Formats: sequence, structure tokens, C-alpha cells
Amino acid sequence: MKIKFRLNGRLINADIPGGMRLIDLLREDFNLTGTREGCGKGECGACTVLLDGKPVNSCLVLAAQLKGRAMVTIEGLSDGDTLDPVQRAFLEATAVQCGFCSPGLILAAKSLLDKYPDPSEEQIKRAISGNLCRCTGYSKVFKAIKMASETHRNSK
Amino acid sequence: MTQTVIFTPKSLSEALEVLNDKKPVVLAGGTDLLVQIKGGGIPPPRYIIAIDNIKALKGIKKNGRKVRIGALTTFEEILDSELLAKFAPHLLEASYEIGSPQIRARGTIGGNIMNASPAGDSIPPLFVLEAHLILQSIEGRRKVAISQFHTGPGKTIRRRDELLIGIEFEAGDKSSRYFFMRLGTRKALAIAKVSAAGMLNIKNGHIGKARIALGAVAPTVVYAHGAQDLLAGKSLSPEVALLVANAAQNDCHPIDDIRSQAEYRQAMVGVLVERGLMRIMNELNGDGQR
Repeated sequence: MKIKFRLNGRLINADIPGGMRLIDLLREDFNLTGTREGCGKGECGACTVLLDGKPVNSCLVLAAQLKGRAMVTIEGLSDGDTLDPVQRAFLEATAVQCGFCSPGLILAAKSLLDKYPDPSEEQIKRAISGNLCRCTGYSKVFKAIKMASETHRNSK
Repeated sequence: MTQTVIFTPKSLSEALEVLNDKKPVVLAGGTDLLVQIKGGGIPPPRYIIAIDNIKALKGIKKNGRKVRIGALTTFEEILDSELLAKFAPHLLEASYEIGSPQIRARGTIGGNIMNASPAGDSIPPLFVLEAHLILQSIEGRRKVAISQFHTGPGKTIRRRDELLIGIEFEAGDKSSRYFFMRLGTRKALAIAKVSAAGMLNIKNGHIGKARIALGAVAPTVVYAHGAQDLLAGKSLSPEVALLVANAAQNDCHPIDDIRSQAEYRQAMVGVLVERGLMRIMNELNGDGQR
């Protein structure tokens, strides 16, 4: 079936098999491999993308459901070589070890800060509660998100 | 799944035609259905109708005393609703516990009801509101009490040409008090082991109507009839809360399964109901002091 949608700012026309999952469209057809498949059932958050600004598990969305919507993957967050402040904060706080969960965590954090630029500790914890990390742990991630929110505030 | 034909109607009438002609599997937020297909619980369907573009099925409205929630309203939208914060605060408590931000951004209240899990978090709150479900087909519309809708785990009385379009309930007043409590293995992404919701009408310290519903302790969500009968006409006190909590334990028939054990569930029904009632009692006492 034919679908039209926006991917990282670009307008895309695609012809896809009916039951294709969004994550497969991204990884197989567009080679956007920053979106990872961990569990494939909506529990680990490694496949998180932003759909109309909201974090969703791309393993639980059909590509057919993209019709008329706008999507951002981790590859669409930076502006060329200029990283998004959230990405920069993750680097500065070294909130990365193996990196498998990082794209999902960064996008979950990005959507939190877009809605609540100055989040409470509880809001930060809830925002990343759908993203599992099995090596670094969450304290540096937590610190990175706080740093990003402060950078955001100071730049205003 | 690559052989599956997907319909993406924009209007309700278009969707009802497809439902009537093809009897497709309905996909709302996808957070249950796509997991079940992947896990092999359901074979890949021949036809899927993805209804998430039908605007008429979204949103929360109040008309007179009737509150109507569109079937496609997501849990995130429920959490952001001032109307529901006022008239169904316990539904917000339940929505707060569901899944993760990713799941709440996609998962819908209609999908939670249609998935028909006895552990579905939105269902006990709707039971105590005595909510009705609105089902529509090309033949017309019917309203069903939520307590009549589920017949077992994963089973409902919906016909395959019907679509759940909304949920309706009568708004309470100043005398209405609510609670929702649940236990899971962890805070996020855990299906409830046991849950309880309550609604009490309390005037001058006396309980009028009382509704208590229990989740994950029977093949469907159930009312705790014995507990409700005990509450009527009483005043809330720690002694009454304990008595009612004990009665609620006899109103359920839990089983052992992958998430928990029957004995634990039965004991925790008592704990949750007692906590819920005590919270209402403390809220009322707090109000009195102000």
C-alpha cells in the first residue's frame, strides 16, 4: 500500500507491504539503524521514535499507520554535525556505555523536555520508565537530562 | 504479517462498512494486538482495520450530567484531561499506572476495554462509575453496561461488525469519592497482579451508594457485592474499612498464574480495599479541618 509521511523533516512517499512494522521500515528500507529492536513487544524502549512529537515504540506501530504523520528518529535529532542539546548532555555526562538503549533514552528525554522544559525529578524518572538500560544504569542518564534542562533554561 | 491487508479509514461510516464487509481485526493503539500477534497468541490476521485516524472517536466531552470518552482517547490524553480529573480522578490514577510513556502515548481506553483482560487497569474505575459502552455497526447503535460486556479473559459480547465508539457515564457530585489501587511487580510496564476501585457517595458522614470493583481476581473484573452491601448506610471508620475489606476477599475467585498466586491475590484484595477506604476517610477528615 502507498503511504505519505514526514521522516526527519523530509516528505516521503513509500509503497509498503500491509502488515509491515514501523521499525522494519526504518531499519530495512531507510537504513536508519539507530532505532534498535530489543524485545519487540514494547517493554524495552530501544525502538523509541517520536511520532507527532510523542515517544512511541516503533515495534508496536504498523508502517501503514504513518499516513499523514511526522516522525523523528535519532538520526533526525542533530542538525548536520551539530548535536541536539540532549545528545550533547548525554555525551558530557557520559551517560552511555554500550549505547544500545541510548537513542531511545535520548528521544524519550527530548519529548519530556519539549513538554516540560524544567521537569521535576519524578517527571524525569517517569519519562524514562519505558526505557531499559542494562549496563550504565540510570543515574548518569538522569544527570544528563537535568543538565540538558539547565542548558535549555540558561540559553533563554 | 506481510500478507495482511490493512484498512486505514478516516471516517466512522467508512470504518463501519469495512467492519461489516470484511470482519477485520480492529487495531487502535496496537500496544496489545501487535504484541499478541508477534507472540503467536493470535495468527497474523487476513484483514486489519487501523482506526487511529478517525477523529470522531477521540476526545472527552461533558453534556449535562453525561461524560463521554471517545474510544480512541489515549491514556496520555486521559492524564491531561481536567474534566476527568474532576469527574473520574480514579481513572487518572489507573491511567498513571499503565505501561510507560510510550505505551500511554498509543494505548487507548477503548483498546484496553476490548482487550478484555481481567487485569485491564481502566476497567475497575469504569465499573464503579457504572459506565456504559457505546457499540455501533451499520445497523445502528446499542449501549451496554460495562459490567455486562466481558464474558471471560479476552472475550466480550461485541459482534464482529460492531465498533466500540465511546464510553459514557453519569458525572458524580460533591458527595462522590473515588479510589483506585493496584499492585504490580514494578512501577512501570507491569500488568496488575490485583487491583481495586471504589466509589462512595457520602452525605453528612453517611454512605449512600457504594461501588467496589476488583481486577485480576476472577475471569473478568467483578463487583464486590458483599462489600458494597456492607458499606451502604454506614459511616467510614477503621473498623468498617476492615470489615468491608474482609468481605471483599470473599467476593473474588483468584487463580494462580504467571504473575501471582491465588492466596496472595485474595489477601491483597483486602489490603487494597482497606487502604482505599481509609484514604477516603482521611480525605474527608482533612476537608473537615479546612
